[in-house]
Amino acid sequence: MNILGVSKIRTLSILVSVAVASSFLAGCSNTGSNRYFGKTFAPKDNVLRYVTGPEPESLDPQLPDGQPEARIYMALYDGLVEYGPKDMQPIPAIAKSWEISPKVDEFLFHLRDGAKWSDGAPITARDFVYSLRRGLRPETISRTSYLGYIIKYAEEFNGGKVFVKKGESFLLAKDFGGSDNGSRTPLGPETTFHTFIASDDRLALDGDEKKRAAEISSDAKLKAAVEGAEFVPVMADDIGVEAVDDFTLRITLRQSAPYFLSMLPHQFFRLVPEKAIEKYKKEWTRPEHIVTCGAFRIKSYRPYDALVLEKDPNYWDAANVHLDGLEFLAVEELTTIMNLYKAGDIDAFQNHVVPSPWVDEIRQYKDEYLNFPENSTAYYAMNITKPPFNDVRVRKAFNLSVDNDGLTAFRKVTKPLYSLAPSFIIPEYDVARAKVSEDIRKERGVSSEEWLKNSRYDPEQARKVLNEAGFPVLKDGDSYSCPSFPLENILITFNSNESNRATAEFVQAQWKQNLGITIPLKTMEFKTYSPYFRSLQYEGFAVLLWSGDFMDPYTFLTLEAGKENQGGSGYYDPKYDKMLDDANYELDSTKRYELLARAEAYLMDQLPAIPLTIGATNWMKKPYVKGLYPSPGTLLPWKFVYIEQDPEKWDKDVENILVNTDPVVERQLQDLKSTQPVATK
Amino acid sequence: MDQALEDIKGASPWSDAWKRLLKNSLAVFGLIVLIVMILAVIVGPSIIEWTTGYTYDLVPAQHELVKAMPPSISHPFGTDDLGRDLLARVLQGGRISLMVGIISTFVSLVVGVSYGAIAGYVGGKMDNLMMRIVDIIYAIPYMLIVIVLLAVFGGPNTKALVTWIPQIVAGSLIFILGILLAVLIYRRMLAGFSSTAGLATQYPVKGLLIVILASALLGIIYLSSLAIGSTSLGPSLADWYGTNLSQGVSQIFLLFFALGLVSWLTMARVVRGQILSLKNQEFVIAAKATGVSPFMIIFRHLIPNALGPVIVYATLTVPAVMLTEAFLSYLGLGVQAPYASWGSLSFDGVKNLAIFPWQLIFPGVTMALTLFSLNFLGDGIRDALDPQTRKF
Amino acid sequence: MLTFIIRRLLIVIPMALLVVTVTWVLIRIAPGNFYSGEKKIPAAIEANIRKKYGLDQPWYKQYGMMMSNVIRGDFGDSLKYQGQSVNEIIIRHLPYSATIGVLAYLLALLVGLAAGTIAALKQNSLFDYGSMSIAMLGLSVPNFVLGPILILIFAFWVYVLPPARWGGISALVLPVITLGAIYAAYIARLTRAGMLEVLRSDYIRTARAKGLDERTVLFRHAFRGGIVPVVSFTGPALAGLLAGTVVVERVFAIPGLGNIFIQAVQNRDEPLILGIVAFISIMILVFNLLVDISYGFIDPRIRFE
Repeated sequence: MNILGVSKIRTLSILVSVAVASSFLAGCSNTGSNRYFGKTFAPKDNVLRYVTGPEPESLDPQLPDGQPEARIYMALYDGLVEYGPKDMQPIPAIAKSWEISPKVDEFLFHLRDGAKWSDGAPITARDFVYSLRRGLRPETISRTSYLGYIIKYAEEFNGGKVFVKKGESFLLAKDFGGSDNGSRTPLGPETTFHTFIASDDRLALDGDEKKRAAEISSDAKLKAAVEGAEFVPVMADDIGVEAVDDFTLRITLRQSAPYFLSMLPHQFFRLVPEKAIEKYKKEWTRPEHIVTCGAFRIKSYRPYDALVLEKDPNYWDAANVHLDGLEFLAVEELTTIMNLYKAGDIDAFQNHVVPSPWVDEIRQYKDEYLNFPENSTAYYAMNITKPPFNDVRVRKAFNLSVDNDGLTAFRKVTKPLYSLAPSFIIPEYDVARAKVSEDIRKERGVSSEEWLKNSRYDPEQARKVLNEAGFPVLKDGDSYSCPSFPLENILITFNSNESNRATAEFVQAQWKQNLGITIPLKTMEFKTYSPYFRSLQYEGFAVLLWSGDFMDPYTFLTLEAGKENQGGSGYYDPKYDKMLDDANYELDSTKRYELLARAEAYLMDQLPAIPLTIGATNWMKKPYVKGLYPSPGTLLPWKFVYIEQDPEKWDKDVENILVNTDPVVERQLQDLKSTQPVATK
Repeated sequence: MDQALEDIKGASPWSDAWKRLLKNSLAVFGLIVLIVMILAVIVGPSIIEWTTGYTYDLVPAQHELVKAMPPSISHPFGTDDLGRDLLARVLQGGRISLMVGIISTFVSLVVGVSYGAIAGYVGGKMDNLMMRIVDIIYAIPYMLIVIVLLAVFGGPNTKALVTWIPQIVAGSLIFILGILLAVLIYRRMLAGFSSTAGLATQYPVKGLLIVILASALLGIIYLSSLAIGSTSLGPSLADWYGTNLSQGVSQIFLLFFALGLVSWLTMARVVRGQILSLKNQEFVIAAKATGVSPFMIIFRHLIPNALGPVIVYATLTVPAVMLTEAFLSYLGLGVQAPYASWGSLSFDGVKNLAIFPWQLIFPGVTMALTLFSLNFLGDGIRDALDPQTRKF
Repeated sequence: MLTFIIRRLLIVIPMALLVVTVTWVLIRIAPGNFYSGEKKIPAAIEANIRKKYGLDQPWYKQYGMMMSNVIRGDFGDSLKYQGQSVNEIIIRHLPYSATIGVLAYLLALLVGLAAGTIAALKQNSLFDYGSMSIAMLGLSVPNFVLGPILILIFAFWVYVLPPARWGGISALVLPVITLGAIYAAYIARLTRAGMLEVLRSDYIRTARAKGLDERTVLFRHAFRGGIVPVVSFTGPALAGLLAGTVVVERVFAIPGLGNIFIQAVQNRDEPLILGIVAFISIMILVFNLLVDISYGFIDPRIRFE
C-alpha cells in the first residue's frame, strides 16, 4: 500500500468536486441574462401544451374535487355559465340569458338552441336535469355534491332521506321547527312540478330505520305525527330542477343564495352525457365511449402522461375557439415542470409551481411570471376545546406575535392575511370590510392607531395580553421566556410539504423570539394528517388551507359556521351562523357584504384560527400565449386562449395583464355577455 | 485445509488483523475521517453554538437575513432558505445520518449475516422457509410499515416507546448475557469438577446454586438499569437528538426501527449465497468430520470466509439506507423539521441546484466523504480479516 | 432439480396471498381513507361512499370479498382513478418501468462486472483505486442529485437531450444512466470482493498449478465463483427495478409503476396497492428462484437438496 495511492484518490475526488462546483457557478451566470426563461418559440401547430398537475382522477366532472381536474373539465365540458377569464365572474355559456326571482331563490335559464354534444346530438334543458340528478344520486358518490345542496331537496335526495306521507298529504318542516320559506311567485310558466316544488318544505327524516327511530323518539310531537304514516324516499324527480321546455331550465333553491350563480361554473354543475353514461356505466369516460360538450374533445389519452385534445367542430362557439389543440401533461415534480418549461416543451403550467427560493430569479422574467392573489387562504387553526387555547387571550397573544408581513416577505409569493376571508379577490367586499371595521372602531370609541394595533403584528401587545391570561413573559437580556406556559403536547402540526414546513419554521421562530415559547413542529403524511386534524386530536396549532369553491366571501366565512364545520378548531357559535344567514337573506349586494363583514369581525374577535397568508397564483406562461390570465382560482376558460406568432404582439410586463385589455379577448367577451342583458350580479 | 485449521488455532487473530489494518494507509485515512466526523457531529453543534451562537434551528431575527446566503466567514457553509447556518445543520444532520447508518449496518451485520448463514448452512426445508420469510418482508411495502408504525406509536405513544424500547433492549441484552454467563460458568465447573472425580456428584447442586446466584445478581443489575433508564436513558437520548420527549415527537426513533427492520434482508440473501458456495468445500467437510458443532462451523469457519462480500455489502447498505431515510423524510415520514439529515439536506439542496449550489455541495460532499471513508475502512477491514491474506 | 423448481413455483401463489393479507391489514391500520381529503366530506356523502365500497360491512366479510377477488386474479378498480382497473394499470405501466429498469441493469452489469473484475485482478493498482472511487461516487451521489445534475448538463448547457418525459431513445438516456449508476457501483464493488475471495481459494491455486493459462482460469473458474454475490443481489434488485423506481420516474416524468405505487400508498388506494404488491411479490419470488437455479449453473459447488 502506498501513500501515492491515497493522494491520487484525494486529487481525484477534489477534482470531481471542483468540476461539479464550477459547473454550478457557470450555471448561475448562464441564467438571467436572457429576456426569456429558456427556449421561447411560438409553436407552429397552434397547440397549447399545459401541465395541470398529476394524473386526473377521472374524466367524469362530477366525481373528483381537485383543481387540476377542473381545468381539464373546462376544456371538455360546458355548463350553464362559464368562469370569466380574468375575474371568474360567471359569463353566459350554454345559458344565453337568465332571470332571477326577487328573493334570489329561483333561477330561470334560457338555453341557446345551437349547442351540441361532440357526437352531434343537440343539448337541451333535459340534459341539465339529468346531469344534476345524476350528480346527486347517492350511487354516483360525487365528492362535490354538497355544492348542489342549495337546490331544494337535493341534500335530502343525496342523503337518502324520506318524506313522511300521512294520508294524502305530507308532513311539513315548518310544523316541526323548520324554517318557513314563504310563498314563491313562479318565474316562468306555472307547472304541476313547480306547484309542488314551490310549496312549503316537506319534512325529511333519515332513511336509515334505526337512525330514524332515534330521531322520532327524541321528539314527542313528531312521534305522535308519524303514527300510521308512510315513509316515502326522496326521489331524483323531487329535486328543484325542471326542464320547462327544451331550452328553458328552472332551478329552485331551498333558500336565498345570492352566490348561487357564481357557483354554477363549478365542475359539478357541468353537463354529463346521459346516453354514454347509461350505456357504458363506469366505463363511459374511456376515450372510445366518451361524449363531451366543451370547446375541445379527446384525441388521444395516455394515462399518467398526456391527455391530447383537439378543437371540437360541433361546439356551439367553435368559431371563436382559437387553439387547434390542447395537451394536458401529467407531471408531478415541481422542478421537472420548471425544466420542461425551460426546455420549451410546455407553454404554461398550473399554479403554485415556482419553488419559493427560485422566485427572486424567476421574477426577473417580467413577461412570463404571473404572481397574483388567489382565492385561497392559509391559517393555523387552534384547538379551542383544550387549555390553554380555550382562552381567547392566549389565542390573541399568539396571533399578535406573528408578523404576517414578514412571513409574506419570506414566502415571497403570498400576501398577508389578516382576517378569515382574503382581500384583493372581490374589491367590493374589501370596501365593505373597511367600512364595517371603521364603524366598529367608532362604536367602541377606540383611536385608529389603537384599533390597528389590536389586529396587526405587535409583540409588545402580545406579551401584555399573554400576561393578562396568566402566563407572564419574562425579559431575559435580548430574549424572552415564558416558563409558566404549559407546553405539554402543544405542537404545530402540519402535513408535510415544502411550503407548510417553511411557514411552520418561520412562525416557530417568531414565537420563540417574541414570546420566548418554542413550540415543536410535527409533520405528518397527508392522509394521516387529515383525520388527525379533523377529529381534533391535535393540541395547539394545525395548518388549515382553504381554497374558495366560488367567488364570494361566503365560501370562506362558512369555514367556522355550523356545528360540523370545516374550520377544525372546534368552534361553534349559533350567533355567528345567524349573522351569516341574515346576510344571505339580504338582496342588496353592498348591504349583504357589509352584513357578512360584520359577521367576520364578530368571528375574528373570538379568533378560532390565526390568519397567515393569502395564496398566490405563482405560475408562468410563455409570452406568446395570450388570453390566459392569472384569475383568482387559476380556472382557465380555454376558448379565450390563443398563440401569437408575431413577437411584437407578445405579452410584455405581465404585472398589468389583468388591467391591460387584449382586443381579441375583449371582443369575444363582449359578444358572449351581450346575450345576458341584466348585469350578472 | 491445514491452513484453515491453523487459522482457527491462531493465537490472536484480532491483534494480527489490527496490525494489518494499520499498515493500510487508505483504511487508516478512512478511519481517521470517520472518527473526526463522529467527533464533529457529537461536539460540533455545541462548539458552533458557543462561538457563534448559531444552531441548526436559529432563524435570524432580522427579516432581511431570512434568506439563502452564500458561504462567508460567519457562515462557512452558507445558509439555507431560512437563513439558518448550514454548517450547524450539516453537523446536526450528521447525528441522524450516522445513527441511521450505524443502526442499519449493525442490524444487517448481526441479523442478516447470522440469518443468511444459518439458512445457507442448514439448507433444505429450513432454508426454504427462512428465505421465503425474507421474501415476504421484502415484498411488503415498507412505506406502509412506516406509516403504520408512526400511526400506532407516533404522537403521545412515542414517549412510552422512547423510554421503554431502550430499556427493553438493554434488559434483554443483559438477560441474554446473564444466561450465557451462567452457561459458561456451569460448563467451566463441569470441566473443572470432572477432572477431580470425587466432587463430580456434587456439581449439579452447586452449579444450580451458582446459576441462581448469578441470575439474581443480573436481575438486580437489570432492575437498577431500568430505574436509571426510566429517569435518564430515554430522555437523554431524545435530548441528544434535540427532540422534546414531552411533546411526543421522536419520530426519529421509529425511523431507526423501521430502517433496521428492512436493512438486513438483502444481506441475508448475499450471505446465504456465499455460504451455499462454501459449505461443500473441503475445510468445512474436514471440520464436520472432526466433530466441530454446526454453530462453530458457521461462525468460525464459514462466516470468516464469506467476510469479503459481507463487509462490502455492509458498506453498501449505509448509503442505501441514508437515501431511503431522505426519501421517507421527503414524504413526511422521516426526520421532523427543523431537524435535518444529510439526505434531507441534499434533497432540499438539489431543488436549488442552479441558484444556491452550496446548499447541495456542502451536505453532499460531507456525506460523500463519510461514505468514501467508510468504504476504504471497510475494504481495509476486509483485507485485514481475510484469513488468506497472509498467504499472498 | 425439476421437482425443486415445481415446488418453488407452487409456493408462489400462497406466498403472494400472504403478502397481500399482511398488506391489507397494514392498509386497514393506517390512518386515513382513500376519500379523505383537504376538505371534510359531509356525513351523508361519506356514508354513500362507504356503502358503495362495502366499507360498512364487518371486516371479515370485506377481507373475504377481497381475497376471493384476488384469488380470481381480479383486483377490481382503482379507488382513486375511477373507471381504471388495477390489472389494466399494471399492464399499461409495466413496460415503462421495465424498459428503464432492464436497460439500466444491463448497463450496470456491463460496467460493473468489467470494472469489478479488472479491479480485482489488479488489486491495489491505480485502476483499482480509480474505478472503486468512481463506484463509490456513484453510490454516494443519490439518484435524486445525479438526475438533476445530468439534466442541467445535457438538457440546458448542451441542448442535446430532453429534460424529461417519455418518447424516443434520446429520452431514455438520462433516466437509464441515472438509475444505472448506483447499480453499476454496487455490482462493481460486489464483483471485486467476490473475485478477490475466489482468486485466493484453493481450487484456483490448483488450476493455476495445473498450468492452465490465465484466461481459462479466469473465465472458466474464477469468474463463475466470483459473481455469486452479484447474482444474489440481482434477484431482489431486478424485481425492484421492474416494479419501478420512484425518484427517477418523478424527476423524469416517466409514467412507470414505481411512482404509481407510492401514490397509491399515499392515496390509500387499496386495490391498486394490493395489485402492485402481489405483482412485486411474485416478481421477487420468481427472480429469487431464478437466482437459486442459476447458482447451480454458475458455481458447481452449490448444490440443492
